[in-house]
Amino acid sequence: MTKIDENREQNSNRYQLNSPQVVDEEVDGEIIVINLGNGNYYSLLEEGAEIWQLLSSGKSLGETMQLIESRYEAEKAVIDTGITQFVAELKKEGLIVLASDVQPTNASPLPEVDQDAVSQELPTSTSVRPVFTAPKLNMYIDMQDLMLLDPIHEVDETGWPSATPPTP
Amino acid sequence: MFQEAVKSSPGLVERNFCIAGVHFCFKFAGPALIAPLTSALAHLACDSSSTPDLTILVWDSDSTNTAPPPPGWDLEDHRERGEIRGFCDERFHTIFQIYVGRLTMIDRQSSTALCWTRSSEDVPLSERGAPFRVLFDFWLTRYGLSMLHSGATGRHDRGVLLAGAGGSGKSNTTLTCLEEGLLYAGDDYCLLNGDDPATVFSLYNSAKLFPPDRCRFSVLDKPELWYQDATSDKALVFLQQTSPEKITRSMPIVAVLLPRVTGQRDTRVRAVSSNTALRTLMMEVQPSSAASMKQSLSNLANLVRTVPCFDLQLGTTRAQIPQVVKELLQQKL
Repeated sequence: MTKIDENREQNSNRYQLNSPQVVDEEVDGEIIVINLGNGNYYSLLEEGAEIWQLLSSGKSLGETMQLIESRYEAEKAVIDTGITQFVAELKKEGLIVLASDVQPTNASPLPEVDQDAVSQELPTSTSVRPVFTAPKLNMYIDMQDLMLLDPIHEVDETGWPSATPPTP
Repeated sequence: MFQEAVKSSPGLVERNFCIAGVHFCFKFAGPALIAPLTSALAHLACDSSSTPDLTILVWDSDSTNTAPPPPGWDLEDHRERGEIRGFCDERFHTIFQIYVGRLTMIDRQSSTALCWTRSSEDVPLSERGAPFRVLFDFWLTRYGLSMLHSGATGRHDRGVLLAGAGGSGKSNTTLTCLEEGLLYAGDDYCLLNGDDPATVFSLYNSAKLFPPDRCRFSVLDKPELWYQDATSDKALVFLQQTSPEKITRSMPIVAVLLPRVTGQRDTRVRAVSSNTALRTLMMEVQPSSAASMKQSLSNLANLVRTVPCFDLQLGTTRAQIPQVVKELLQQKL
């Protein structure tokens, strides 16, 4: 496969939330994501939140790049690289998966993308666009202590662990 | 095993509690565990006329002279959050809490649970103040409720949620407000639904303070009311014994307060963003399961979207604290 074919294939990829292990909520433009498997708590702002919303709505990677390029000011290569690296990080943290990786369920399939609708989302006027900054995945690991108590390492002769009072 | 424990004990004792409208029926094999594990729930006692939503069988081996139940799993099966691998599925949820030495097994299909512990003498102060926390968190998630490590104070029609880490001033704030005529729904744990307006439900009537702080509260400054043991630096009191008329079962929440001790003289409030409040609230969630964490995120996100959030900068002039809270409650927020 040539590099061009590889890029084309990657750009057609669609992603979705790695449910049920990962949950998310939006508050005042910030996306909060929690990985219930490892207790990590993430925050996405601005470009990161916008890219997350686009991918979650069923847009392919290529469609997402096209829309961000139309909304922000920067070289196409800068935007595409920033988005590609961001998506790679989301995948590495287990927050999103390829839509084709998900086991079939009774849930409705993602809607077919309407190319006309995508075109309509592109701005028609030459309004001032904000400068693009690379999206960032902010991670907080404080919640791990709350979510993941250490497994037990020893038991007594009855087979039960000895009670360990909490630290005052 | 439970039936053997009942036969070996003075007899079966039943206690019923209604928590956020959910009826829990506890059946104890003998009386040994009743005081340690139900004093904090006394304000929610109810009669047994309705069918329980969950029936819990509770016993210990020492007071009933019965052998510990043989664990049907290996050491390696004790996993994160105390869950027992192989005994948690769509029907059963099994947890062993190392800190309290308790096994809890919940059967969703029959709406029953069993709780076994080695000895009634081993109940630590934290458990006396907040008993069956894991069981309540797990079961109440199915009703859309989240257990928060938060306090709540206010009036029957308007209340504030106090969120923050240990030592942030939640207990002192709620007890100071109680002394000045506001109602108490909890100082350490409470339940929150996902409605709009969100409502907080009382869970425990216990309060914990460091012994030197007890003298600040005249209604609580009676040594015979306090319980302390070697497992904690704090002492425990049950407000159902001192001020039952000041405990409320629920209140709608109109604001979130994030208390913190400043060392300054005056107490002030300063608006903070919903995101800041959400992060603080989520850091204090102590989920028993992934499902309860998911419910907590949903309920708390809904809460911070719908009510204002404030940094409550606690000053050294204690009289100002309830005044500031009362002024907030009087405002059209």
